[in-house]
Amino acid sequence: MQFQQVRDAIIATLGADSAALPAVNQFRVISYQRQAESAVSALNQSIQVFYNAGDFPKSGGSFVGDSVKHKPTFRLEMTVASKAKGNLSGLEAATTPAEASAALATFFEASSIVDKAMDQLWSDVWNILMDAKNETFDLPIGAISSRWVSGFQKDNPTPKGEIVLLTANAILSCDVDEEVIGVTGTLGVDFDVTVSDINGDTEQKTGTAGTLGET
Amino acid sequence: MNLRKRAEADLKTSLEGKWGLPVILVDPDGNEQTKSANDPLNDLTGQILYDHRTIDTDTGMEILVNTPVVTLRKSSLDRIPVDGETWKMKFPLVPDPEAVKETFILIGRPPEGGGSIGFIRLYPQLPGQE
Repeated sequence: MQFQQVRDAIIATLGADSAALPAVNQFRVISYQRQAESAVSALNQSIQVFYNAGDFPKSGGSFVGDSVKHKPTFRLEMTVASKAKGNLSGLEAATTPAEASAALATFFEASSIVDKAMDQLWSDVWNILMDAKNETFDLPIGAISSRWVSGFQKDNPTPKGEIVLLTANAILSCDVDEEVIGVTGTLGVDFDVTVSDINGDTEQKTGTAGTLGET
Repeated sequence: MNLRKRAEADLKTSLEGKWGLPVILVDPDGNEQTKSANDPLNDLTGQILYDHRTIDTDTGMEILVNTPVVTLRKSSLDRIPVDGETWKMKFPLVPDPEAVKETFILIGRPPEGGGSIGFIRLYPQLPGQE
């Protein structure tokens, strides 16, 4: 279906535009909904993109061969994680109380770092998705319309040992036209039954050859 | 002797005795403590457990996390860590008193205990470079 091409186009666009960001802001794009993600692997910020729901408004034309309107909803699951960070090398090199105190003051707890990182990630993702050049995600004109990011929700930070994990999700919707192409099944075995006349019954053209009345 | 005082005195054995591992503390003002306030001739030591149980907020299940918990005798400290402060701690990454000490940061998670018997439980973290 057309939404699959749109899904792949969104993933490709996010991946390509992420590579153009400053290295510290780049993110991984995962093309499916992961069952679980370890806190360590989440240290590289990532976004999972997957088809979440679809709405098919009924219309008269759809019954006579016109394309079917499809309003797919794609879910974007964002994950960031971090340890507490600060001027660690300065802290290790400190030789006076004043230097150690100054280095300690540079440290931020992990939940503060992930909150800012998520805000930056969301800002980058939203700007990519809503960029005018990405209106059709490089698909042909007419393949997709009305793309819109309709919501964003940040979850609570969850500590996993010394790593704090923060997730958020956003909804991207659009309109596509689907063509009903049917399903090509598995080819069966060719057979040919020709029964021209069974006991004078000229109406019987199909069925098992034999004499009428047989069981 | 009052039993609470006796229990506090017993911390010298239970936390700082032969189970104890050396700990260095640096308070937010940069002052370093390497010796016990109770016994300035000896290193500051405490009980270090290298993992602890916690509740995974995603699932509600109890899980084991590989982050250390350091329990110290309060009377051995020059200054007691309180919630909101950032401290540096150094102690071995493995339960060997002679092993190289690694730098940890005490930040975010508040210290626990100390009100009843006289010990304080700290949750240091291995930090990253900004």
